Amino acid sequence: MAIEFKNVNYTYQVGTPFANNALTDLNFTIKPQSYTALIGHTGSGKSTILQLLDGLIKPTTGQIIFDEHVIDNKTSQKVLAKVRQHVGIVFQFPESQLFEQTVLKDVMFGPQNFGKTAQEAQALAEKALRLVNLPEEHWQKSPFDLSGGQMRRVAIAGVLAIEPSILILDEPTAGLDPVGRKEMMQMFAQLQQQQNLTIILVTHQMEDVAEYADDVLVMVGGKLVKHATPSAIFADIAWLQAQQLDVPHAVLFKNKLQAQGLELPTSIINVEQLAQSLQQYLQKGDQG
Amino acid sequence: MSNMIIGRYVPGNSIIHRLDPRAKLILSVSFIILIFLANSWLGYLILGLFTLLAVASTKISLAIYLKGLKPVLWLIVFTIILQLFFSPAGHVYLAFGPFMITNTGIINAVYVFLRFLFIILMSTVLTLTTQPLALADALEYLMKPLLKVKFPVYELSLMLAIALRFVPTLMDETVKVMNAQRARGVDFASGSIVKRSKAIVPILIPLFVGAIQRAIDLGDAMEARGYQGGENRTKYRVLAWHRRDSLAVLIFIGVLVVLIATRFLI
Repeated sequence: MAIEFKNVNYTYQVGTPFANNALTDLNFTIKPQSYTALIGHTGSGKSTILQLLDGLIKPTTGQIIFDEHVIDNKTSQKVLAKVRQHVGIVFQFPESQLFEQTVLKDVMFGPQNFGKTAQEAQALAEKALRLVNLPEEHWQKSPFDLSGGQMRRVAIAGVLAIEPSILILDEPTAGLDPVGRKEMMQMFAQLQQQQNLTIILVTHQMEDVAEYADDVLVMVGGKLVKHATPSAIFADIAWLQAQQLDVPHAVLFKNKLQAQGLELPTSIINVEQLAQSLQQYLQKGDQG
Repeated sequence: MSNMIIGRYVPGNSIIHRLDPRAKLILSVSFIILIFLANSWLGYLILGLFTLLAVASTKISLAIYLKGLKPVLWLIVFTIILQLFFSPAGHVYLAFGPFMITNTGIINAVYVFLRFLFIILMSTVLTLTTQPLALADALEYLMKPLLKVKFPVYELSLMLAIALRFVPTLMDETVKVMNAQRARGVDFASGSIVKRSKAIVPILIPLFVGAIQRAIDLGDAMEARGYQGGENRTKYRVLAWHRRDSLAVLIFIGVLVVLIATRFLI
């Protein structure tokens, strides 16, 4: 499913003294099956975009186009609900959305809301729980008896069980240990490959952007200031730092090597690419 | 939810903003009692002028006050209608069955409307110009005499301060959980009453669990920072009574005297 934002503006509490303009004149397209990273300083409007993407709020002016569905200020809740069925959203600290008596029931909750029968929902739930790698012995437990990391997996399974074609991740690894973080990011990348998902990732982890994303949107103060590939974004370190954003370690290290006179391609943004280039460089050195 | 105006603080630097919270609290509570003292057009006129004076001196736009009236509009309309149609005394203008419109009915309806208006406007003046924590401090101070009868004043004011502090946090949390459940297909806005009340469960349980977890964390953090109970603590925010506070009380007493005079002398 492609998503297009056309002149989208969003103002909180329109027409009140507390009116607060969150997004200004957004125009961009998210290609189907792409992995888009949405980055920006705190308060730049990222979370508002996420809510728009899931039809939780409607644009104040402008349009959002999901294939055949067009959402503007007058769109009915029914149409929004239809869009929502195709969009899964993993909010920050999603473990706070668990409520059922057992893990399995909680994961079945989403599919059942979207009209699946109990059996279908259970099949989807089991599939999702396997995807997030939660051992079967926990499925009948109360979600509140699990560890924080396991609860997060259950919550994510609850979103995946809807079988969305667009998956939105709002800092899905915040507060996890390094191993859990890596496992989870790899799981999302794998899902995207296997199930042709469109992923939109909101993150402050530039390493993840460099590693997984193929498209990057940079927000500053409610405006889209840059829309480019990760290598184009990370090519201009001074600009990134001016936007109070991080630079991946691999890029910094590559720059140091370049400063020492090594000739490396500028498109390097993650550790793997750097290692490969270095290997090639050394091999060339051996021959010459 | 974000449209609620009650309990909202609007920053400003007007004379009312700078009044001592104790003065504001006492005066607004006394004002509500004072309203019931008025029983004539003159009385209501004086009260109305006093209310308008207070509203005007907050320097907050009138639109905000009108928004504060909105949620209680139905209650006001309902009471007015009751007064209007069910006052059997006085000169009858119109009658059909048990309903009748009489002159006392009309007068009572107008009085009730004015009372509502004044009470809401005055309490809005209080909440719009006073930070919730300042109100909690004021309450603690005013409850101090109750210590003599072993009333847990410090505990209660601590609970109040914490509760006030966490209202916005819990509101945010509620919105967050609601959004997360809506994203999973919960529909809060349609269906029968039974269906809608069932839709509340996926919000309530996460909220309770979150609140309990937060309470445990906060308790630990407070203990770790040496909190041992309310007694013998020093205060960071010290309330100070200024001349303007005494002046406000004097103006209020003036209104009170005039009002009593209109009631009993004229």
